[in-house]
Amino acid sequence: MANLAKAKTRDRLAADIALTFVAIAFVVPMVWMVLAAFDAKATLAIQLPARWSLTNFGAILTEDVAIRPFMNSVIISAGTSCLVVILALFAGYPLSRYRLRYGKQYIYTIVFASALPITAIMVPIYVMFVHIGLVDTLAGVIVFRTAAELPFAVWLMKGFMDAIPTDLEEAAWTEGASRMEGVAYIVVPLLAPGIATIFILSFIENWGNFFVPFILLQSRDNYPMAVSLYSFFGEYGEAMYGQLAAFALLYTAPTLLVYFLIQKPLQKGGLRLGGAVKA
Amino acid sequence: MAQGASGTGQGPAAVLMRIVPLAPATLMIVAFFLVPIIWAIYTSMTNLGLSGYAARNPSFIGFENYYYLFTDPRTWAALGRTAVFVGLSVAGQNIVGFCIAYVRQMATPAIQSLASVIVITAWVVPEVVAGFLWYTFLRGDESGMNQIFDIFGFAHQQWLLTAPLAAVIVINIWRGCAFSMLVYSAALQDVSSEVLEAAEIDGAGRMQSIFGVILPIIRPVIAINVVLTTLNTLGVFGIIWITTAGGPGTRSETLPLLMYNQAYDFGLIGYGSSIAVLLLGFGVIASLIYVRLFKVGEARNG
Repeated sequence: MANLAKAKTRDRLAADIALTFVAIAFVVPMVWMVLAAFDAKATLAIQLPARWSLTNFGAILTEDVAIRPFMNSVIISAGTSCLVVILALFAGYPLSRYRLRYGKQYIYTIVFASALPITAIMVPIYVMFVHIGLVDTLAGVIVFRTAAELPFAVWLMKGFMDAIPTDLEEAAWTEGASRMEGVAYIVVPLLAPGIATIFILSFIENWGNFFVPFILLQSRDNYPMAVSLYSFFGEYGEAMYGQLAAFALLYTAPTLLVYFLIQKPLQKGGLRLGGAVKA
Repeated sequence: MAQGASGTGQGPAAVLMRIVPLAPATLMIVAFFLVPIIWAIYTSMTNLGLSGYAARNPSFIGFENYYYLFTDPRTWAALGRTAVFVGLSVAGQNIVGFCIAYVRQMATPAIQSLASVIVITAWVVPEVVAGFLWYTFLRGDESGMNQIFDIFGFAHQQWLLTAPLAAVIVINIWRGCAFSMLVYSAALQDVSSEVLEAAEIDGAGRMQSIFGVILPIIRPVIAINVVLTTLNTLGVFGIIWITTAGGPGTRSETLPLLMYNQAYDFGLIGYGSSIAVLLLGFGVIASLIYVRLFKVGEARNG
């Protein structure tokens, strides 16, 4: 038994060393951003600032540089997530509650669509949006991002609804509630965690998305943070590393914040693909 | 489930009422997913341009774009690079992700969560930021990486210039590991400890228990995760665009970058669409495999 305990301790030590090494390897490329953001004289090198300062943040917190792009990112991400949740809620209900003739085929089709690489349809989407006047508008980005997120969201929503028992709804109907009332007062409140999950996943996805606004938007006033960080980088990258790092940090912060609010279940349970979950 | 919950009749009107809520989502998906795909196929058979005469008066040219596409060595080079990029990224993400998940089980809790937080942060950071971080980390003599090389006395490297494809593969693995780690962590928790103890009693070593017991048990998860990571990697654009822009020259140009360059830099929307169709073709194949695995998984879970 003593040998076994010894072996366990040895395993643990080896695992700790290996994981520490992994952590260092993964964190090193990120260190620069955090240090440079607080260093008014930042260069490409990883170095502690001679004087920690908020000068970089002060410089970028103007309407044109960071505030408008930040608002555009909020509009795109929140707008898309709201639309996605509402449309998925409508679509999920019949898929979950009725035995539809082509229900299974419908599910397989949206699972198929959710897996296709969006990158490939950006050229035709661009051409199409030029024709219908949606190029260079935030609405255009929201409409397309919604369509792109919907297949996965509908499938997730159906799954969440399947987990809610029908008895409560049925009880409400016998009390005289209509189907809509049943959904509004019974299903939606019970679905709250599922709705929050879909909203957050969609929000993070849209907040980080670069290619769609990069292709669809042309005027600077419409750029979300992803695209303005990119163009900032191209124009002033060589001269203003500190400000660039501050901008990147500001852009990353909301994602990290949201993520670490919901990370507990992910860290504990991980992602289950048993039932084929796409995260 | 729950078809018994229907309080209404079975007439055509009732059936219609059931389908109506599906309409808005379905219309969105059809209008902005299906229509563009068909549009891409049509556009790929025209000489549509981004501006000028060919933008206003595109003409139908049949399979001419495809003829040029498949006779251009640049396409074949990009296809080869895409295969290498996707293959090595997927292998790397799955292997490293599994290893971290496996080792994580045995580590001290504090180190366990520290490593998870860091690996997951790399995954959550927006694409542009990730590209920007790696650009600054790898570029120039004073870059972070060369600082580290100085400590160990290695010669300075400019991998974005000398090994651009390898560099973007490493970046992509760095970014995607967390997803596979989370997937395999969950899968490993589902492997019953009794089976593992039985293997241990039978005298199986660590490697034997991984290759002989664990991997065969989680094989369905591996299959579906490999397909998912393949689909995610196939469309990668931002990371490559920001760190190398497909260069130097075309040395890290994969299919999405070739598509972008042809459609927007050269203004050849029709030709770019034929590349889009090619890329979509690979996506459709992988996606069909995904649906197939999904059906199998669903059948097993009941």
